[in-house]
Formats: sequence, C-alpha cells, structure tokens
Amino acid sequence: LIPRHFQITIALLLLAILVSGILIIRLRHGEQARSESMAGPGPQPQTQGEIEHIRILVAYDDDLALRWRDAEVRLPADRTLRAREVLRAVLAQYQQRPSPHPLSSASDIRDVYMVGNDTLLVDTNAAFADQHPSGILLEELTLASLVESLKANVPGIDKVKFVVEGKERETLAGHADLQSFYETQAVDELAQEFE
Amino acid sequence: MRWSKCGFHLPLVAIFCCALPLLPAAQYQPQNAAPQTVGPQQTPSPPQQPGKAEPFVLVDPGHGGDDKGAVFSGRINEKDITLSLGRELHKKLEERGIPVKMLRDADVNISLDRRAELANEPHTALYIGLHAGLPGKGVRVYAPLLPSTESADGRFLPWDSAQMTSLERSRRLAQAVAKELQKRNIPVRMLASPLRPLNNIVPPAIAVELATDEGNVRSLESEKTQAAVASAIAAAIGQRRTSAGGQL
Repeated sequence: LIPRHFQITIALLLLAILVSGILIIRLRHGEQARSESMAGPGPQPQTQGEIEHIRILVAYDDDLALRWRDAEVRLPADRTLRAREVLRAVLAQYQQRPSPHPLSSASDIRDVYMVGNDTLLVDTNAAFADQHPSGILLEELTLASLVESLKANVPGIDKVKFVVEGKERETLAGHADLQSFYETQAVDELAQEFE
Repeated sequence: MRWSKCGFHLPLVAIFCCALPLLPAAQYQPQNAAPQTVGPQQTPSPPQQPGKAEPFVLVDPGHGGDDKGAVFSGRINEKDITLSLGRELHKKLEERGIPVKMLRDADVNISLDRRAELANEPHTALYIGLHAGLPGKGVRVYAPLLPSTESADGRFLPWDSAQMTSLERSRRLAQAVAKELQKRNIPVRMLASPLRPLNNIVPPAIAVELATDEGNVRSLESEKTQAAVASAIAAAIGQRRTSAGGQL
C-alpha cells in the first residue's frame, strides 16, 4: 500500500501539472490572437505631403458606369508613393458602406513599384483578390477605375501590372486578366464604354 | 482503499495533463496543410479530333471543377449555368449542321492557358466562351481587347496578343451575335474586354455572358432564356457561314 502522505503529494503534483497545462493553453491562445491581430492591417505609416484635390474614376454597379469623382488626398511628392495613395483613395470609395461598388474592407494596396519610367507594378493584398466579387464586369470596373485614376493623377504611367501578395495570378476573381500588363491607352478604350 | 484506486488512475491523469499543452499545436496544424483536391478530373483530355479535317466551332462553358465562377444567391454556380448554356448551344449548332465541339462537357478543372491551347489546335474555326454574371439584364457580348499590337516575330505570335490576326473578325462575330439577340428582343450590350483567354486564342473568339440582377438570379437557369440566347448565337454563326460560302 502506498502511504497516505505520498498519495497526497502525488495528487498535489498532478494538480499542479493540470493547472500549469491550462495556463499554457491560455497563454498560447492569447499569443495566437495577438499574432493574428498583428497580421491584419495595422496602423499605416502617416503619409507625408500636401493635401491635394484630385479626380478619381469610380465604378457604379447600379448602372454599370464609371464616373469621375473629386477627392481630397494627402499626396507625397515621390511618384511611387503618390501612385499608392491614389490607388488607396479609389479603394476607400469602395470600402465605404454603402458603396457604389462594394469591395472588402480588408482590401489594400501593399505597395507599388516603378519599373523604368512608364510601368507600375501594383502589389495588392490577398483580400483584394480573394474577396473580390466574381464577374466579368465587376472585376473590370475595379481594374479600369484604378488604372484610369492612376493615369489621371500620376503622369507618365503607360503600363500597369497587378500582382497579389507579390505573386502573379491568372485572374482577379475568375475573369479579368491579371497576367498581362494593362496599357493605359487600351484601358481608356474600355473605360470610355462605361463613362 | 479509496486512495489506492485513485493511485492506480493517477499516472493516466498525469499523462493526459502533460499532453494537454500539445493539443493546440495539433489543432492548428491542418490550417497550414494544402487542401485536398477531391472529385473532378484535373487534366482534361483535348477535344476529339474530327474524323476529317473539318473546321468546327469550339464552345467553352466557363469555369468548372473547383472553379465555381460567380456564385449567385449562395446556391447557383456560374459553372453550372455555363455548362447548360453550352449544351444548348451545341444542340442548336448541330441542328443547323454546323460542326461543333464542347471544350468541357463535364464538371472538370481546365486552366485558362489550357483552354487557349485547346482552342488553338488545328481546325478550330471559332471560339465561343460562355459566362454568367451580375449585375445587369439580358446578355453581354465581349470581343477581345488587345494591348497595343506587338509585331509577330516570324511564325510565332505573342501569347498575350495571339488574337491580333483575328481581332477584326472577332468584332464582326460579336456584332452579328448582338444583332441576332436584338432581333429576339433580348437586351444586349457589346463590349471589348481583356478577358482571358480571348487574347491568347488565334481564331476569332468572343465571350457571351448571361447577365442578371441579384433579385432575379433564377432567370439564369431558365431553359427558355438559355434556348433563346443559344439560338441567337447559332443563327449568327449560321449567317456567317452562309455569307462566307459555306466556310466557317
């Protein structure tokens, strides 16, 4: 037979293990929740520059149209950063509720890169593509409004290429081409059909 | 005696307690694992070669397999609408004696590049891509929209603008289809679009999209609507063949 004092000691030890196990689980959950919240859109670095009055082309799903709208945006002098802020200004229109062309509130432009003087590489986050409504027109209206707004506010961009989380995708949400470069001249033709 | 029984079970409890902290890791592991692909065939076989070298219309019901396309009201998949419309178009073309093949006639995955490859095989005279989408009413007919034309280098065409040699014929075909739809009082809008895989296809290529609003998605499944649209497309192709002296 095991002596009583030994049994009590073992029981206390097991209780201690159980309590520490529960504590570890809670700590892990807390840490995971913190890391998930860090992975989401965190506080954006404050954009430097003057507030400018610009025109952006906005998609309207109700009547399948693209219309110019005024916006006040803080735009940096740097051409690349300026392009990113213009794109974010367009996305902001689609993230309001109600929106003329609703997109996920998690959609964002991660970064933009100039390639040479006339080509812009736009890196969007996964939510922009993964949560974009699927449909030929819905997808093309988004891309046309982004490219046309860029063209109007960042002179000299002739080609735009979209990537998602730094990687190429075939389409935005099953239809609009993301593999090719969008030439602003060709997008003009597309946009005019909706203006 | 009671404590002795507890003493017998205590090691088991101890093992359980020690294993508890490991459970969360095991629980989250599957999130990083690649999703399993189940069901549809992954690599389609190319359309069967015709018995003789006869040009044919290639009907491509958009999406398929894991790619559902747009999902309407959470229950109707674009891939199913395009397949039933494709079968209807196949039937209407056959009724007119026009050789036709389906790029997919089942719920299978076919990549956009593979669709373009199959469309570029010999004897494809026309490519008709089928889609369905929100919002709108009636039908939208799309002709390709190419980037500024790159010059072809020798015998090779750039993949992104392989359509360049047929662009004008594609536009005429889109116009003919739009005209036939109008004749049947179906609202129609003609557009140019950088829609894949139209730009990667060498023969004349268009896309036809059934359009509807959120509140009227059942109209996409309507056999009557699909038959009318298929009939208009087939009539336009039939006229094109007649005006070209029997050639597609």
